[in-house]
Amino acid sequence: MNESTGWLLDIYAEEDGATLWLLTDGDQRLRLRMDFDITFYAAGDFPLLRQAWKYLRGKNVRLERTVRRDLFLGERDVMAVTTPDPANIQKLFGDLQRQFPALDYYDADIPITLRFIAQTDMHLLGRCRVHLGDERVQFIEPLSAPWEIDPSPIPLRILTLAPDCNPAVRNPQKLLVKYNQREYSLSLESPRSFLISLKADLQRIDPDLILTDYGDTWLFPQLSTWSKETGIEFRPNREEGRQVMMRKADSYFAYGQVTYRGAQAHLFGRWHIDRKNAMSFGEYGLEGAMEQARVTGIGVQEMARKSPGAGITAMQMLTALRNNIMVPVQKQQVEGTKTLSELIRADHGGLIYQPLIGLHGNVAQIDFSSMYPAIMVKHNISPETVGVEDASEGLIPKTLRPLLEKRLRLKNILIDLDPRDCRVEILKARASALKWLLVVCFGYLGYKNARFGKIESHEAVTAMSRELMLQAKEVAEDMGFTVLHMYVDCLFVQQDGFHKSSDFTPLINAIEEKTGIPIALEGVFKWVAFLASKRDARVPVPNQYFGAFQDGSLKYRGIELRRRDTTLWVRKTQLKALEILAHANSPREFAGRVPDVMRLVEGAKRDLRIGRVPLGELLIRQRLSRTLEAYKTPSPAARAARQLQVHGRQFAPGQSLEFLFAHNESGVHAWELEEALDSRKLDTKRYYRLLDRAIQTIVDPVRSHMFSERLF
Amino acid sequence: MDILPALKTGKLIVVYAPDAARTESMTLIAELGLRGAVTILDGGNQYRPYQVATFLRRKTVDISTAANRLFSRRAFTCYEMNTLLCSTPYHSQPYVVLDLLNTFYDDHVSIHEADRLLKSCLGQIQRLVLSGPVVLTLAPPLAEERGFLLEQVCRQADEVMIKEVPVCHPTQPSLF
Repeated sequence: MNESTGWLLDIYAEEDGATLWLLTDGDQRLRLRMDFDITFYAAGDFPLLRQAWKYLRGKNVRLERTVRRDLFLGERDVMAVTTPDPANIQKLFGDLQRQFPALDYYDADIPITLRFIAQTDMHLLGRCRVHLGDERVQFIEPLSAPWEIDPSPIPLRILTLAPDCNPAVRNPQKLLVKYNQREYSLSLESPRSFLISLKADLQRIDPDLILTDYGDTWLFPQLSTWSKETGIEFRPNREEGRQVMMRKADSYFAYGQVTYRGAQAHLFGRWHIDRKNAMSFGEYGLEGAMEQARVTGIGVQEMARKSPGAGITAMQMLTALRNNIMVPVQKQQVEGTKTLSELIRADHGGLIYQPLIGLHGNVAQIDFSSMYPAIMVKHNISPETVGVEDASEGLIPKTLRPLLEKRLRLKNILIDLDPRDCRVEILKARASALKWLLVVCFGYLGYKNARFGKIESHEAVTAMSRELMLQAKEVAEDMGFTVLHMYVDCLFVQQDGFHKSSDFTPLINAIEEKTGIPIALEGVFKWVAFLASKRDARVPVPNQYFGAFQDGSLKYRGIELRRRDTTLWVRKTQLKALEILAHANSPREFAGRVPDVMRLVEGAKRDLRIGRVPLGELLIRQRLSRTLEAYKTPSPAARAARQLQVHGRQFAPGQSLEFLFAHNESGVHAWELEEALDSRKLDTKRYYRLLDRAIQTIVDPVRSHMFSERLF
Repeated sequence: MDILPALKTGKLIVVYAPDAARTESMTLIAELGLRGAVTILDGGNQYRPYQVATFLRRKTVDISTAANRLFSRRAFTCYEMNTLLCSTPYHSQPYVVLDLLNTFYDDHVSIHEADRLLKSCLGQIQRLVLSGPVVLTLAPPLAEERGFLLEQVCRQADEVMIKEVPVCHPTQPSLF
């Protein structure tokens, strides 16, 4: 019997089991086969189950009557359907469901990676020892855990491919190739020689990860076309005989907006990640995507493109599998009956205590660390435990506990590390990846498509958070602090004579003791400005502020700098203005810096007037919320899209595009148009207005301050 | 649109409007709450408790009595809507089902499945009609291919009320 040790790179289903890719300690890439039976369950009326049993009898499956646990309904008599052919389970299940739609199905749509992890106790990218016999895996032994803080680094071979321009704008002429420290380009002039060169590079390097720009939407579809045209076979998979798995583009509605997801190209035996089509890749990069794959059990190339919500769902499925709980294909638990009074009391979000408008000096911001997940874990809030006395640990807390602990440990390590330490960036990316999983876990308690969601558990979390925030406020006020603003999980407090971080330590300890949830000092602001509504200066706006910490660093929320549709020019100028203001050590000094800001603004406008601002810095990026035909009054983005539509570009809801404001018929000029905009046609006044608005946001707070000073 | 006089046990009333008659249904719920218990099943996140409470406050000082007679449940998928209707017990009281088809218009659910589930829901609604009047509010489908769902529901109704969208005539703004 052979034995190999290494990292588990990839798993996918085959007709006779599963294929595993192992990156060995000896730098080999091993393709391993393993027998892997898959079982799903059907429950319902017995006569119907009997018919289903008859229907399945002739197929290549093993049928069994057994008892399994549904999270909400408890033990159920079910029919277990076991197949040795994991690759065709979706077809088998689809056929059965079409024949017997009234049955309840469980465990039928669980990714093979999750089943494998639950069965073997392995984890993706984890270290393992594999025992082989007759060319198949006989036994696999995990040598690491996903919750390790310092996992042994995988020696991945990464090949980066990027065209020399955005293919949606113009035809690329070259493909830039990067491997290790070497960079070169391949000409795209002749598809034949390009394909031959790229094929040779792939064979020579044998990368584990192909990292591309526009790989999903341009490179891989183009490679396939060129391959057909030239007759040169091009198979970028490591798994021989497999084609690239292409997934179609789609638009979907999530988090209150229409999002467009481009087509996807997935590889077998190695990964492909398109940096331009990976949802949160910009946020936490490859390290973050790998960290999410490690803890969720979803493959790296999938996880890089999916939302953190998909990651949390996978983690919940894993917990369920490990605890012998069936995962329903369709959640059917519904809300309990509430009277109007009960609904009004229960159906609330987090607590918001409106800010005191204006500039404030020496203000501390203290945040509950991962408040909602911490509440779920500490108070055992899970769909099946809400309203149950002395319930054992629920599925959701069981899922979140290790995740929460790992993130807190990473955060604590980061606090202790020197910012120049080479590990900081990696740890930050990993902590951020875990943070996103924790951020969405609360929403998934109430999300309609969550497998284990229930609206009452969602309401219980917010109810508890409001109570904890009120407790924190009481503690702060009892200790003589003024609470300036509270927003869901953070408080802004102030007290005369308190300006050092250590001054606030007793308060933090007292709140933590009272609430039992970890709380940390975000920092002490030299000054912070809470903004008023632009429509009515008497009305405060929650979570819209900017301020300078004592080390001069800035923090801002809800202002133009944070908006994606703000032009780079406005953002840069607003940031420079804030940096000028950050030199002020108190609200009083803040007013003294305003003339410098106004000089900066005049300079920026002058630069724009005389054409010294690159057009690329003036781009507005906006998203289409519907199809172009559905616009009654087209937005600027829709008008820009129509300019491109004339040239054959197609747009789907959720797609973003860039444009300039211009003096022409439609008032905009799409950036992707072949002909560049004559800079004399730029609508400079429109840009002035955008800048004035952004600057007004940050100098407005000083008005009330100056005015109040004049009274004395 | 006055729905109240049309209510009668054994009668299924469908109210069709672009916004699933949100305002009218809230007024109806409040009016019914002043008279007795009501079961509200919300399929489109249409129930506005504050709006109903405001309406009740205009009509009575004893809001809590009326508020405690309004029993609501929400469904966020068509599977949940089916479960909701199946688990709603008989009461001799009115039932208001808000935006019944909203979750059936979800393009993540196949047309075949939506059709199957709607048939099951309509069966349950017929069961409820026997014990009290049932009002269904409906909105138009997002995609034409799901229009047949709307027709199926309307076919079962004893009365279909259609809310006309007011036509806005252009008027010159006042100059002085």
